[in-house]
Amino acid sequence: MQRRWQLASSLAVSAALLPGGAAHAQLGASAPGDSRGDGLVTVSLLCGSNPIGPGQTFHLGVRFDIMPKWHMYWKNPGAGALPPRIVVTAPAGYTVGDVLWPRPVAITTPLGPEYGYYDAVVLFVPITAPATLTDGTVSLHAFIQWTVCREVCRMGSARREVVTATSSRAGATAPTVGPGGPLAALWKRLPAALSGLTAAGSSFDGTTLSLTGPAGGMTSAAFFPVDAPGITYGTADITIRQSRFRVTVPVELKPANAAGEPMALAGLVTLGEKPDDPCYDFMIPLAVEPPDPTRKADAPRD
Amino acid sequence: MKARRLLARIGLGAGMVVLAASASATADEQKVAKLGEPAPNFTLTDTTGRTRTLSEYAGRIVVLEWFNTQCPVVQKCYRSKSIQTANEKVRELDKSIVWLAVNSTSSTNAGQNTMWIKKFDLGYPILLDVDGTVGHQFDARRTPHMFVIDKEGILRYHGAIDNNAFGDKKLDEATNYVVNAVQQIVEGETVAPDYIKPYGCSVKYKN
Repeated sequence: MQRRWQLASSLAVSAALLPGGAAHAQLGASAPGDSRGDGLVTVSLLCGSNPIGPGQTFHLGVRFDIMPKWHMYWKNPGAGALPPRIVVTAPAGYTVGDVLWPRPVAITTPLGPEYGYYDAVVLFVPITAPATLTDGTVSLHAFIQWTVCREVCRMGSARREVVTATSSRAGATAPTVGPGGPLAALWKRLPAALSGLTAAGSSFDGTTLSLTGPAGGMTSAAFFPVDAPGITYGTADITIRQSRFRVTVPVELKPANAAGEPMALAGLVTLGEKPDDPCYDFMIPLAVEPPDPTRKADAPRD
Repeated sequence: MKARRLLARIGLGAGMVVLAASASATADEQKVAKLGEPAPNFTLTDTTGRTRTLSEYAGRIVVLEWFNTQCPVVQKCYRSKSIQTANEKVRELDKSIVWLAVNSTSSTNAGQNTMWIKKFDLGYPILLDVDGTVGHQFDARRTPHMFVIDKEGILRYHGAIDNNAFGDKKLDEATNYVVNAVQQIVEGETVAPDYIKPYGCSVKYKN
């Protein structure tokens, strides 16, 4: 009974979300947001396939319904607080990938732009099933933390579980979260790779990042950097001319602040203003000299 | 570049604040803090009414902790004892170290912060910066946002307290950048990293 109620509740959430109210998605548990978030966010876990086939890559969708006028954050919150964090626990043999983040909006604040989401957002988590499966079910768990802000910030967390069928036969399933499935409208908000775009390019000359590509008839564009220790992005110069966008961004590198992590330039170019307008991500790995740990501090100044 | 832009913007804001509200600020106190340069002097009152001036701690390492009792990230840090543990560790490195929490929240008051000191049995004062003048001088952007000033008064580190924004690491597994910076100062090394983007709530300035 409990499972049936949860399923019905989740189906209703999905139907409200989708154009045409496609309510046949395989959905997991849904309940109000954790009390520490003061009920400002409702979290639902949606499973991407039913059944899951051997070796299949499918997606979990973590949907956040946010109280009006409050917002949550993209993976780089900009001047804002913390992005949501999702930890998926799956049985042995399943591989959990990195969270996929839809196009954010820029939120102007006195301390600088924040990058995030209003109203509702679905973060996708790719999961690959083991090469061999039996007919049965699998239980997937997600621990989800978020910060939601308006004039003040609140933190919340929740645990969600979704149980879905497994099949020993490949190719027996259609996606319910991801490309081609009923949540395709939300999937479309994920960035495409700039490197996969015809006549597009990205380059870095040591001080300036340059991104170019076709504007697809759009007349506006924006740049969202992905934060990384040791990398400081300046103000982006963005132009659209002759149906092509060009973004140039001054970049300051300080490898000593990278804390030993590999450095890479990364970010997002969005075109247009609507959530479904095109957006493209890029990543440029950097080969930088690690700092010399034996170097002593400068002499104290007078 | 971005940092310079932000500093320029905050510098303008700080200048406006100084003109409007801080008649006692000297020219030195109006400067904006920059890594590798002398930290701007300031004078603030703590929760007991005692006046504290940065220059009175000359010759001692000073840690400034931007702070807000209402910020859930600060609350998390205190519940997990990450800040208190960092405070203990830097005192083990240098017994003369000075740790000052600064609250630039426009709506805060002495009573609220006194309750916090009692609740967590803090051994360091909380300074009240309700008009935000000192917060803008240091370009404090988050709570917590940490600043480490060496014995010569030079700002050597500012940014995040640690790499444990979500609290998913055990304290002894996380890297505490304040402890790291103090240790490097004590050992005469270059402070690296000298900046890690702070995480937490934005500072709730008056303007």
